Amino acid sequence: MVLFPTVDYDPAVFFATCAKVASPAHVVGCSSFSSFTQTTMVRRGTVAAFIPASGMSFGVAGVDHVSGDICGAAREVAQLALDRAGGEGAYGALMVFSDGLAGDQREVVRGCYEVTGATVPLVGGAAGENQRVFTTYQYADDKVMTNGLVAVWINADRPLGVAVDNGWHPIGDPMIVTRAERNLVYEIDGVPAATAYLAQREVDPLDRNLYGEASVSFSASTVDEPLGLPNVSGHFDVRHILRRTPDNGLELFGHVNEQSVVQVMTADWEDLVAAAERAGADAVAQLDRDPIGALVFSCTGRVAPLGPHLRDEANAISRSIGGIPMAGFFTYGEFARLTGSTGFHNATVVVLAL
Amino acid sequence: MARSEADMSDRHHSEVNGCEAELATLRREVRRAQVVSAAALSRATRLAQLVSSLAQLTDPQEILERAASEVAEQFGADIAAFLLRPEGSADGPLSLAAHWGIPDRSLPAIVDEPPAQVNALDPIQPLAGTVAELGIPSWLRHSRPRHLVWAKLVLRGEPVGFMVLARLSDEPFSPADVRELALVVSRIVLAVDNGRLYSRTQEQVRRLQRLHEVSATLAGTLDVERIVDSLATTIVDEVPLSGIAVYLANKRGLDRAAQAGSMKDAPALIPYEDARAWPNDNLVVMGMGGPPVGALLLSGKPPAGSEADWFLQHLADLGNLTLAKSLLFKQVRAQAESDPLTSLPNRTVLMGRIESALSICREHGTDVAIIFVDLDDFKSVNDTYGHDVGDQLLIAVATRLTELARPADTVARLGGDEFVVMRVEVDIEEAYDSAERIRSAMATPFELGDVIVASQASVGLAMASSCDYHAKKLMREADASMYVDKVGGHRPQGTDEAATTRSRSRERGIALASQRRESPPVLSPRPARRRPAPAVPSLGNLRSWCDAWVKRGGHSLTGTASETVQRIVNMAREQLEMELVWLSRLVDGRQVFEAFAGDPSCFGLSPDSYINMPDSYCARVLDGRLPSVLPNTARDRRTSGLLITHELGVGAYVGVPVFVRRGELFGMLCAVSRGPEPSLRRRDAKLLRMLAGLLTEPLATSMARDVQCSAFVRNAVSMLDAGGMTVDLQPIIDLQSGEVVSVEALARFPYYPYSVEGWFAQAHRAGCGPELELDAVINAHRLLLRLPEPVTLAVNASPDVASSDALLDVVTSVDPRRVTVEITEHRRASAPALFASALRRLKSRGVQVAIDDAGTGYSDLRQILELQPDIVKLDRALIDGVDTDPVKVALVQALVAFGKDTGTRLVAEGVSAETVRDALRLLHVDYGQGYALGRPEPADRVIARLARRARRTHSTT
Repeated sequence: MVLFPTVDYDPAVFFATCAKVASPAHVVGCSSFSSFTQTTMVRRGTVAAFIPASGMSFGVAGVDHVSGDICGAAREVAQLALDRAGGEGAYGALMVFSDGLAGDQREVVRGCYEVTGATVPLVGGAAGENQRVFTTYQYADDKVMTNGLVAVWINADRPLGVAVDNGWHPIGDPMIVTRAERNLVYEIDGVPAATAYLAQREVDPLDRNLYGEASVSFSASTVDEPLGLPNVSGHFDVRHILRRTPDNGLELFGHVNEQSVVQVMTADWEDLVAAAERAGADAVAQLDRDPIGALVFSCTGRVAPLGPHLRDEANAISRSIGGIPMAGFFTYGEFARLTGSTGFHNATVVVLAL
Repeated sequence: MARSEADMSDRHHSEVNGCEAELATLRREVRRAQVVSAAALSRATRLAQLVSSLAQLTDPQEILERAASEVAEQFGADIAAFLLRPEGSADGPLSLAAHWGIPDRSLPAIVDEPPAQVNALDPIQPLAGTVAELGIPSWLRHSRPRHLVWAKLVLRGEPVGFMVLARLSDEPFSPADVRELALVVSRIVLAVDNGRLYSRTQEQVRRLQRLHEVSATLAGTLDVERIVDSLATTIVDEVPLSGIAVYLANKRGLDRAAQAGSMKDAPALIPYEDARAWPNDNLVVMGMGGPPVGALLLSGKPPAGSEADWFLQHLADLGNLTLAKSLLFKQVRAQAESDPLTSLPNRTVLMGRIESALSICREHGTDVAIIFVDLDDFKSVNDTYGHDVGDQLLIAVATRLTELARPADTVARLGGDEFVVMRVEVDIEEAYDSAERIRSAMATPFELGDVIVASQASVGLAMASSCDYHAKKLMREADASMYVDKVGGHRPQGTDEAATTRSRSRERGIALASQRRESPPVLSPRPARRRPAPAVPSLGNLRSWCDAWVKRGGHSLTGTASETVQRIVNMAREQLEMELVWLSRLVDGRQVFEAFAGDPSCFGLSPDSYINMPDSYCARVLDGRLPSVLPNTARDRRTSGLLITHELGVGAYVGVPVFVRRGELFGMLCAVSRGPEPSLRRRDAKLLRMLAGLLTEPLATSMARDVQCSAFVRNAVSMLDAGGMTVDLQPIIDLQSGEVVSVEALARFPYYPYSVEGWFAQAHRAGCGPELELDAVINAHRLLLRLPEPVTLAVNASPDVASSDALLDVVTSVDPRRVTVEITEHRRASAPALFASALRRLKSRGVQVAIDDAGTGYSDLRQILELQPDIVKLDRALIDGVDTDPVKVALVQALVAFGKDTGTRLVAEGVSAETVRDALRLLHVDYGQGYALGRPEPADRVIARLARRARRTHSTT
């Protein structure tokens, strides 16, 4: 059983109750900005997906307090999940739910990759919340975690489908990151990163705050125009901004190399919907039979640009996977490593077709 | 209209559709352009990203791991791996040094070599292809790659391994990828090399810091045990080694002193011959070229030339330095606290232990016994067999005493032939028995090499409880008790006197009795290897002594200064283990010898010889032409051609200047051997310099005395030049007959700067007292032939002069029966046994022996008993008032009785009044001397009067 509640519940009570009801099924999940199924958008509440073990087996593990060594924690929880799954099967995937506020999420990929290797895809999402950028929850092994990492090793007797797409495009000038460390960008083009970033935006989010939106975080007010890093495949790895640092740097949700190129990104709702549909279709295309269901991890950063067309994204995915049952949530970052070494994303839609 | 509208509508629709299609096309074009642009941007910066990323790291392993993930990400690879050969080995086996995309469970146990075409790769051109073209390494099969890139890693021209990238998707690596990978690989290798260099530097810095810490710790440690423990632990932890044993050098070989880590089969002792032929190279000698202080036996020695080996060598050197220092300290301390000959505690340590024992025993109400042991006639052993045998005897005595002692007891040597045993918590009976056992043990002959020496010891005992637990008092009592034993000739036990003594000893001290020894100390001499030492130094006259003094530059080492200097010179020889060490003084361009340790004759030298400075090594050392240390003079071109090298036969030399106060150059302290001494190092000169520093004080003291002596010598020479001393004679009268039976010769000095006593006192202070005395005797003896018979001549001699052959020769040259030698015991005999022996010789030749000034000074009854003189001269202090004082009358009566019993005649000195003379006559004192009987007068006058009287008597007869 997979649950993606919003932060409106007491997580301990919520998950304990769900676990009791779902028993003997394993219960895993994490908090979300909001969630959806093939038919319903859940702005405040939860979705639940029951995944039957037909032809599949699962190993579930969770570790808390990961910020001190995210890579090590990821390695540990992935190995534990693999062990609990009884070792590697013919096909499979590793699904993770992380704390998106814990720090550089690329470290989650690095740790997991040491266990999965290149042959087992990685999928999942970073737990979200109501854009206060305060606390997220993860649940596994009958415990609620706030700085945790959940790993579910899925072994299957047939291929699973994992796909990712985003639909964002650059609007700003290419800039060079001149000083950075992990997910902290101190300088872009030799000036403080936030200064360089804001200079590229048409609207300064600070002005917006002057009009009565003081409670909106810097992260929330920049979610519509994240930074993008071009990769060798010609696509952009989008990085949303987690917070502005006191010295006018930018803390992002994922790692950024020094000397990498960044551009301010934006998106049209039509492009986002089209990208979501492509992701669903790509995932299903990897299967050797009809899908029985899907889990979807869509970025909270897509909510604003989708605006009133939010429902259209879910519909497009549902349409692309043939209307089978699906459950998804809006994340603080998505995991999807298929080929190559890039596994952590922002602003994307990731589809796991079962 | 409707149609027109419809047509228009269709046209509009068509235009809109066209526009939308065009827009879609444009959008696709834009997207394609964006893709191309993004890929180009990514490629343009990926090398910079990689370099920047690697620059943040210093650990080589972290650099490789980061490089694996970064390269994979930047080049769209699923797997990246670095295969390296062992550092420094171009053909060692490959191992997977870092990887990205291979789970641990799939890691290979052994990494197979890459295909041949990869091995033959151009270092700067990676090779890309499908797995069909390049094959799949066994350790990659699990991941099912489809495309590979191999790149050779080359560091400073040497191949060190490979980098492999793999893609699982069917997407080949582009030529652009391959070109850039060539650059990437070179940067990664450079970063790893820098990282290794950095790590090595860091490790060196860490080790240097550790070495500094260990040095600081060990430098402040003088405890040998702590040093060896610390050394062992540090080496095992920091080099590191699996195990170590630290050995210290001693006479037998290398003794295991500490051990750390896993070190099996480390022998407790490694004899030197085994050490020299040690089968492995895991025995590191700590010596730095000099005599080894120890060695390290290692388990798991690091490769030669490695950092660890370097560190190990430094620690070994550090161990050598600190151990040498602490061993020297230990030795110096031992020397300061113990007697160097016997290794027994010395007086200082003994007194400390006595104080401590007294404190404890007084508190516990128990007793402490001090047993004094003094060998009898030890001097004659030295004189007969030389000092080597004497030294052996002292060592043997120390050994016997130690064997008799309990662990809690202290056996100490006070100096000379004096030993003390302290026993704690004993009662008087136990202490007495101990003392008896000691005396018995001392009476058992000692077998010393070729000779068997029978020795006797005088033993004295005192108990702390009888001395108020006062250390000095306790020592005094024990000393006095021993002295009683000695003077009493170890009278048989069980006699009344012994019983009394023993009874009295319960109160204070005990004099132990034994059978009087009549036989000489040597029981059964075997052929001696050494020539017996001369009985006494030959005596010259005052003139020759003064000439020698002037010749020596007005310097003479005597007394305590001489002993101290000799000890230091001896120590220098012991420490340097060279054949001869001398202390020389620079006088008028010559080196005059002040002290030797060793046999100077081996180098053709003697105490009276000298070396001209310009010819000497010393002059060259002083002006810097020669170093202080010359291990091989024959091989050294600076010395091989010098005449002095061949004249003296010097093979090795160490010499340092000796300074006295205010930096004034005194002379040189030099050590020489006939053969080369390859082990000589600068530190030997340092040691010699340190010892030279110790000479400053005694030499300065001696030189201060020299100033006074010089004044005396000037006066003496003037006196001799002016005709020398003259002689007064004072008659000695037979109190019954009133006849002059003898005259006492009294020296007079017409040249006046001192009184008569002053002349003798100054001469003794200058070291020529015996010469002056002998001159006086010679002057007096010349008068003997002029003295009318049967008048005899009495001359004065101190015990040391009386012991000399010179005096014997003088007084026996003409009618010895008419000569009386009056022993003026203002000074103790320096060799009592020899003195007693000399008196026996004099008496056997007919010379009369008198004890002068009896009743004062050292001439007490014990002395009289021991020396058995022919005549005893009673001091004026006993005689004055004998006409009025009944106590003195009683005393003189007793002495007269004593004289009759022992056959000793009495002479009363200081007879200053006729009433005294009469009283003495009534008391039957034999002879008298004093102003009332005849004043001292010039010899000629006295002789003339006596001659006249003799002629008168003769004519009357």
